[in-house]
Amino acid sequence: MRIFKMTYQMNLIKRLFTGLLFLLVVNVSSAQDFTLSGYLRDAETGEELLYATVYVEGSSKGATTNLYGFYSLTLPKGSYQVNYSYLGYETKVLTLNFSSNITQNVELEPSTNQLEEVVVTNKNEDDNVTSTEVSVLSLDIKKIKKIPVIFGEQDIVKTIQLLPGVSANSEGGSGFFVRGGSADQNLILLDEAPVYNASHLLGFFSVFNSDALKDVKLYKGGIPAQYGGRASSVMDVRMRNGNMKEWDISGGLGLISSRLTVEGPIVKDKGSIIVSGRRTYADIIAKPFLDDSDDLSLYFYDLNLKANYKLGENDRIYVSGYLGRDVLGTETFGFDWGNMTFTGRWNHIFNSKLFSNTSFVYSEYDYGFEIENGGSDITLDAGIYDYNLKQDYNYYLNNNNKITFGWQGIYHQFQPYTFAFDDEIRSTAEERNALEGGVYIANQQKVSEKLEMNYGVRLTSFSNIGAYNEKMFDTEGNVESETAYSKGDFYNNYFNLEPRFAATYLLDSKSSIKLSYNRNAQYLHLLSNSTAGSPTDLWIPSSPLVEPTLANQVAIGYFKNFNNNNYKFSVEAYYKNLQNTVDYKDGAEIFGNDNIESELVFGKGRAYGTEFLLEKTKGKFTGWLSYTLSKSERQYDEINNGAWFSARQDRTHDISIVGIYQVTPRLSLSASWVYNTGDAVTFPAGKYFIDDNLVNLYSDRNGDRMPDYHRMDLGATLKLNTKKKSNSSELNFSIYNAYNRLNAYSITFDTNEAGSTEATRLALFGIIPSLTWNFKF
Amino acid sequence: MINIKDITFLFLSLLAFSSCEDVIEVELDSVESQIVIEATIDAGNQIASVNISKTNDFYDNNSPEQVSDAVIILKSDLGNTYTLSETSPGTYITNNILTNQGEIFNLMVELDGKIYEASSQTPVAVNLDTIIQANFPGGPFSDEGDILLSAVWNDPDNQENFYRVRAYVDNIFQSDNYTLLNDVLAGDGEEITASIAQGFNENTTVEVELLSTDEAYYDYFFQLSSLAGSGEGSTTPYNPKGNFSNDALGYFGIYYSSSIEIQL
Repeated sequence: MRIFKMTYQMNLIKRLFTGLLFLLVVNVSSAQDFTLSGYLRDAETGEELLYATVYVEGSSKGATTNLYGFYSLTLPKGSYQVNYSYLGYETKVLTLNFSSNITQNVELEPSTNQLEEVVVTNKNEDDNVTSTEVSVLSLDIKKIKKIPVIFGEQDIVKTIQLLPGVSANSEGGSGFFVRGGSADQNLILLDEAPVYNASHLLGFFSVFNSDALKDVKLYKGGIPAQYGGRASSVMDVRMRNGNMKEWDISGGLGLISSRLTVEGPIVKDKGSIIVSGRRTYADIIAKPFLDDSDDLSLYFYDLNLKANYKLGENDRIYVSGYLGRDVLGTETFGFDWGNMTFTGRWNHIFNSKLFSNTSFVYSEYDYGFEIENGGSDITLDAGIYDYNLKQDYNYYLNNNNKITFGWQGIYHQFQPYTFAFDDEIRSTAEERNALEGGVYIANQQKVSEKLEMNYGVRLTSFSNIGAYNEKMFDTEGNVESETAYSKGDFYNNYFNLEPRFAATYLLDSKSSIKLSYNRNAQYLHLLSNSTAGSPTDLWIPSSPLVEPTLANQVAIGYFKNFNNNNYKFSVEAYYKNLQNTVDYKDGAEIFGNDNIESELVFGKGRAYGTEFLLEKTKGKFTGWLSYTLSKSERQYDEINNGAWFSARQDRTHDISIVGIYQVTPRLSLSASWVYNTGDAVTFPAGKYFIDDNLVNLYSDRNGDRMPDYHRMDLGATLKLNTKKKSNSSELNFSIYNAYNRLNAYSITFDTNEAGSTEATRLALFGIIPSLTWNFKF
Repeated sequence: MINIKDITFLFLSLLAFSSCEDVIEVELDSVESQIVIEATIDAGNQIASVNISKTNDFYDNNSPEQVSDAVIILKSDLGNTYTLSETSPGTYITNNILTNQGEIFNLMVELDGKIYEASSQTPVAVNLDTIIQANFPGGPFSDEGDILLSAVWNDPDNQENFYRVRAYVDNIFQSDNYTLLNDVLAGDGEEITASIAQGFNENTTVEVELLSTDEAYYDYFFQLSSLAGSGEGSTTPYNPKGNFSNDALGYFGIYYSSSIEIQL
């Protein structure tokens, strides 16, 4: 049966590829065309500018720089005024004579006055309307620094949570849900390396240190074919390359954490390096408030490193790495976890039309416990390890067709747990191995002046590899059969064909309608038996028993810019269905369970909603208003008598308002307000007593609601005078939860000291002021 | 064992100097009252006891309604049959039960024409050897007390064993303490040292009781322990499944008990 399915899919793939090629061939350019290509960079730092615009004055012909700042533009023979522009930079216009292929690297000067910067009109401003990207959120790392945040610690994830379709997993948390999907359905990439746990300190900080970052994009839908492996979204985070021109030191001192970044040229304009570190000291601050805390440690650190070198005009190599760790410990107890990633990249320009990138990526997430008990040392370790090789090509066929294609292979290793007493291994779960593959091709095609499409397909595969003892379980969780597979045996294979499509139809130059469809397969599943997630949640691979999660999503949107681009408006509607979602059975035994697959249930999900976003992008006052109306449900035969129930993250209404007011060139004020319907939760409907202790009686799964959540944050940023012009220094003051709303982090139903039962609310954060000093020399 | 919830709480209390707890009114649904059967055989003392009650609404602070006039019969697979008699409303007892290791008992409760059945297997008798005392200021239970106690005993070889440790402070049963262990993790046939999931204080008398239980008892209380506490960061709430048929809440389990009392 499976073989039949495979053959059928292979045929389908062949047909699609042939069809795609046919479409491309129709449009081949004539011999009298020449190509302009090169890189676009920041003139002060040499940092590449991503998604910047290159276009020919007085025409609709143009190109956009890719993820490495490279562009390619083909035009008929002749002389043209070529316009290079990027938000926040002075636009540059060059007169170029197309009589042969031209290589032109261009550097743009950052706008000197932050206030004037936003008044400059350039083509980039209408990108939201004209690009085929639908359901995509981009963040300007510089701009987010003005938005108030908890503990004054800037965090891209927390800013993204203020945008429509994205919601926080918990109060102050850095986990997020996209369009009703689960937290594990987000592909989080840091310089192409998957990050398995993007949270520090049980979620209060994300692993992303803003100082080291260049660009962030979140795809909520219409996911391009180059990405695969998760069902709901892709968050593509790119690290900065480091200053190519001069050495810089920058950093920040905060109340609970500090940051330091050093960057500079290895060889001027040829290679650069950046090192950025961050550490919290919450434990040191907290100590005076706690008794008996001498042996306590509670902190996290992270370190970002990146170096790059140009080997010539056409080749460039990059290495980047991330190391982060959370540590919690007392005299007799230790718990730590963290991610480590390494990315080695090679950019190669074959010719002015073909750009390639080859990456080797290593990614690791692990955690460990250590307990001293009765003189013996008990340890538990677990982790997931990835080895990833990929190639991506951009082929600029002509001005109307840009083809991307590539492949990827990831070797996954899963170590569910190893339990040892005094270094003697007592019990260990068998290590699992798997190979995840993907090939894709997509074309960005300008069909007419009004219609642009991006269509493509991704074929993914997933193979379980021996040695492994594969057990099948019946619905009761008993072992039905057991098969031993030998080392290197590809004993179970899944294939999925994932079509991706996005189209934009321009109604006029300032408004458009967009449509997208994507299908995504997910072969890794995060199992969590707690409502908020924990560092010990388990990643498991698809297997003969656990089928891949499949997501299908359609989205339609209307985009409009008005009032001379002072305002941008968009509304999007989406419908997503999920097949083969995985969850724990009620009361699953997780720690040290060899047969974890016997504790699972399989179901499905659906999510739909409408998202509104109104942005004010220019002038002294900027900001946005975001509103999401949505529903997200799950269905498991074993839960809730098989009836559909609300997913925990089903928040009917979700509102965010963000405002930034530039009072003077030195002083800016900001405020944000969020409101959302409380999470769907299960409250008791009754009670009984077992062995004299209270047991709550529950009725429907997630049939109740937490109280509505709302909160206001305020912030002020003051630039301080510095002696040298290139230096900068600023103070950031913020107040989290300004009107001290007691939002329920949890509600506990228990017996009080008088013996009667009551509901107790835990409000985690009241009003929290914080002060941070940021500097740059 | 490692308790993530305690760690979470420690974390939160450290981070959130500004956190606060208060009692709030939450509107709750009410459901039809259900039957709860709690049945045990204390094998060492040869007593079988059954309590039958009904569930209450969460905010109803009256004692649970006790259910009388049930017919309760206990049969062993070795052919012995016992009938339990009601000694006080809802409580049914029989004495002089003879148990052998591995012997299976079937309990049948007949109530209002409905029959609820469960079975359980007699575990092996295991004796508590000693109690270890340690001072652990700032530990996970320091809000209750700085003294940690560990129970030590020898696990019988070549069989699966299940344990629960109960504690009594000045003769008061610590009913919300679920310290559960099996010898798969602790090591079959090894000396087991189990930390009791509770903090203790000086100048109290503590009785530590080790229950060597059957698997049904362990499974049921394991579910209760995973449900303890609620809210974010805790287990998704559900109704623990016992071994009774016909959707009765509760369980039927067999245990051997041994205790040591110490003066702190």
